[in-house]
Amino acid sequence: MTHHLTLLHKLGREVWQARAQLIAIALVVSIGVMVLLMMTSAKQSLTRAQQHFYQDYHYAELFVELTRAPRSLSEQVLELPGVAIVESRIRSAARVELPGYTDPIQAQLLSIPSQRDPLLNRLHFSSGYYPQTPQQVVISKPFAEAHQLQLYDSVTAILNGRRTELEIVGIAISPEFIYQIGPADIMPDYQRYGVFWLHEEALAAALDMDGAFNSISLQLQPGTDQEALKIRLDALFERYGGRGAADRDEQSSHRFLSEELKQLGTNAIFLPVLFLGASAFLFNIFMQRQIQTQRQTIAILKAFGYSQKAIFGHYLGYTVVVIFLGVVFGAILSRWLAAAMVELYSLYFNFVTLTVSIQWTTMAIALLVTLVAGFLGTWRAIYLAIRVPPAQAMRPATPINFHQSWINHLLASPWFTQGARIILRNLVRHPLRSGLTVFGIAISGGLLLFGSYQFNAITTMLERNYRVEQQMDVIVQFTQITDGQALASLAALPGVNYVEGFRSVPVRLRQGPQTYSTAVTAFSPDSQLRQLAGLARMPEQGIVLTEHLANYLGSPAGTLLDVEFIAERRIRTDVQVVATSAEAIGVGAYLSLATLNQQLYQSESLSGAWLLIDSQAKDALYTALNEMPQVAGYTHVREAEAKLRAYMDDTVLTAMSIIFVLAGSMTFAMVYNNARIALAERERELATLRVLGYSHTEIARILFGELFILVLLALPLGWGLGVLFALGMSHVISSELFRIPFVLSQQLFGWSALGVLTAATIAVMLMVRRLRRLDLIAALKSE
Amino acid sequence: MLKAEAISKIYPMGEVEIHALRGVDLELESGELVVLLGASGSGKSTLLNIIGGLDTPSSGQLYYHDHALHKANDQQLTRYRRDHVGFVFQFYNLIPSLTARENVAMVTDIAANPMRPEEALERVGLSQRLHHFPAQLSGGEQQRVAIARAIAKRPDILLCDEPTGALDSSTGGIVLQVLQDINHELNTTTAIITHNAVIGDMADRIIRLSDGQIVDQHYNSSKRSAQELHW
Ligand SMILES: Nc1ncnc2c1ncn2[C@@H]1O[C@H](COP(=O)(O)OP(=O)(O)OP(=O)(O)O)[C@@H](O)[C@H]1O
Ligand SMILES: [Mg+2]
Repeated sequence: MTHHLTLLHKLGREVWQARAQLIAIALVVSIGVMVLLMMTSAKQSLTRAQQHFYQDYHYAELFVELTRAPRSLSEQVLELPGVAIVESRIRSAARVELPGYTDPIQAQLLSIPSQRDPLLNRLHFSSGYYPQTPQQVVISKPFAEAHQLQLYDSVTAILNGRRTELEIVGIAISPEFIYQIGPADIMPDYQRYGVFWLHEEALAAALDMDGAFNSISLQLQPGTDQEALKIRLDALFERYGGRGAADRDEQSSHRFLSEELKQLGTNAIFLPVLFLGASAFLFNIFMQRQIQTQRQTIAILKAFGYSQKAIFGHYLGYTVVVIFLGVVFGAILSRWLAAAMVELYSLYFNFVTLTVSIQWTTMAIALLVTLVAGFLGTWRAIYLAIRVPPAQAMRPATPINFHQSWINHLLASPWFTQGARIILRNLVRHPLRSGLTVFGIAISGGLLLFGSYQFNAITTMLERNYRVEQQMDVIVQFTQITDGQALASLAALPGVNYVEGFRSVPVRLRQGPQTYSTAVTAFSPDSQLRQLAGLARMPEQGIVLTEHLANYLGSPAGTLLDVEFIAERRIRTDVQVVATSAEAIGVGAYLSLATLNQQLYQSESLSGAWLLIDSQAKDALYTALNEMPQVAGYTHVREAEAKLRAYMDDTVLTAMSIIFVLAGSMTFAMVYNNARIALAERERELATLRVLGYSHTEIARILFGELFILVLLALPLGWGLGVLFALGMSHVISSELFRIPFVLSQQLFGWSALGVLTAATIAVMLMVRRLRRLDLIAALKSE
Repeated sequence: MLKAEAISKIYPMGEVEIHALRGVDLELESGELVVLLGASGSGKSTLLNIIGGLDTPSSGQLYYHDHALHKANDQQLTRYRRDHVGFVFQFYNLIPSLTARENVAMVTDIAANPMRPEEALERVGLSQRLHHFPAQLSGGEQQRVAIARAIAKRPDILLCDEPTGALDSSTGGIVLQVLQDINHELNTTTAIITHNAVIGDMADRIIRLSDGQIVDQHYNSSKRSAQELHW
């Protein structure tokens, strides 16, 4: 036992001596652990919060939107096999006005049954209660917070052209709107979009829906065949303008949240693997070096009768110490960052409770994964060393065996200085170590490029969406379908420079077994304000699909698509897909106004207009629009864009700096470790050069020249890896919501190089201090 | 040419101080070959390192011509070593990644008036080993490369700390002969540390250190050739 104690002392002293290097490794370990813990616990807590909210507040499983059906129909729905609970309601969109706020506000209005609480999609109140009278309203919490609205404040809603004053009696969130985003928005805008829950009678009266409903939600019995039920529902609501039964996946809130969870899951694997892999490699070169210098010590320990197991355990001690440090540090960091992450998530997702706690099981998994990585990194080096018989190991180390080879012949040519020869021969002598170091630095360079790529891609996405595809300043929605007359009256409003009409119609697209509900947007092929990505001009005939949608439906250009227009009448017909467009945001279908009108057997019909305006006259225009009864609502695209961009700039900066720190630490650890080992191995050589009259700067050049070359090699490789990550990302992150475009710019490469070089410089500067303290006499004294 | 006056060197070791040198006075004449003898720990290496500009004395004065080495900073000492001093150590200290010729070139690259590396290696009898790496040379050959490296710059002072310590007696004899030849031919002031009193026979002067002080020094009246020495 006592001899183990001695080994422990030895370990302690050596760990202390190598602390800087071990800390560098522990840093990389801790980043891996941190990311793993953070992502995993964020995912767990989001999933938990989601499940609880859905269950406790009875989030419906199927939804049908329709034009109008008598209340009695919901009884029939309840009879359908598999249906457990049915709740019908009235849904409408409206414009809202708040005193002192001039920008247009859109609201989604939902009815709350009179006399009882809703059975499904119940509200969680921060304060107040369900509306008891038609004059009362419950508003969504993020909207209330964005405008600092309090209970008993009043808001004005324009219901079917009539201004209605409502008193706020509740502030609440709903499982349906965990992610509260307007129908056409890319990002939540809590100031310009809110959800309002009104008393049933208020909506029924305003929309002429007495005894009727236009939206129904269902909860199913366990084990119900959803698809079969959807077909039954579609048949039942066919006559009532049903838009088709949709499950949770078609609800934007649920979809966004699922996407987020999926991405967290991917990141929780991808990033830790990178960092723990890097730390395993660092361990490996560290142990190799450590053991190389201790060959004789190991032999003596063995000669003294220490068992191989004891020696193995002793050297594994380094791993354990570093992993312990890394895990503890990573756990502390992750607690911290997880809290920040929750804060961030609660900005976007409105849960009843969202708390992040790092669970013991997660912790244990992190520890296990890290131990495995550490063990993989070290066992071979240790094993090879302790296998050597003591007699052999005790012989003095033979001088490092450089010998003639083609590469040395090449290096013998007079172009090379002695310094260059030293650098290059040492690089070539450790091809694996050099290679892995290059690879490790390249990974962090790749991460840096990848990080900046993401934000670059998002900026490009916005740029395309707002500058190329949607060039209008304001989008106006009409209360009902109108003709060209409406455009003339809009053109006459103050500040309006140019007007174009469009029509949007809900559709169901079918191709074989695939079905997709969306809206077609019809506009003139001569449109100045709307462009289809990748197309010079909207074709006169046929339909254009977003590429993603065309792929999903399996309906490329040239195929016939079964299109069901859900307009005043339902018309189901085959339309030829003439082209696909490559928008990055959302999916949709497009056709020319003429084609649409022809399909619907109508003359000119418009559902909205696009405006170019003089932003000076914005307020006057808003006032005028508010006065127009045929205007249901309007959105200021340019302002939404400005807001989004400002937000992106902030986020970009934060996220970029986090990525820079993470990837930078990896580069730092790689370079620093390599330099430390190079110095340890060549202390004597460098001391000799100093004795011969070389200055600090000159020997630094030799020591760091090697690193410089490794870093230089790593830069292009890092770029390559980053491009691969980016390609992978643009494939993986490809959903209906958005596709990350694969766009590269020179800046990305610059950022990556800058990050790597900065981290390498810091590592080198730390080493310069060490090099200055090089003790010439001690380094030369013994063999 | 080199003059040390009352040189002391104190190493602080925690509570205690180790007096490695206690007031050494020493003058080296141009072209002379001096052998330093003394028990282990008597301060020989410390003295040589200070003379060679690898270390500075704790007190006392050290002049190389009119350069005050005791006051020199690191940069000046580097300059001094580069321009004037050649070192040979017990453990050769060759650079393993460079061939014999390249090891010597390491010095000739930065010296003001060097000989060609080939010439230096020829002087130590290694013309046939120019492109061998240290690992491919015997101990004696490695030491001769080290000597070639030390003399290639035509140093004013050649300092050798136990140059034969790791060699057998006949190889050691060859190495010493090389040192003696160079001392003759280039008129290089040479100081050799050794534990072997016999080696004193090849010196102009023999200095004996004990406990950090010079306790005895005398000129050798019957200087012998290194090859005649046996131990
Ligand atoms: N860096 C140091 N720190 C502390 N003490 C030192 C240091 N270097 C040398 N000494 C001490 O100074 C004294 C003289 O050492 P030095 O190396 O000069 O002896 P030496 O005569 O060369 O011995 P040897 O023949 O064994 O090489 C010794 O007592 C030694 O322990
Ligand atoms: Mg000594």
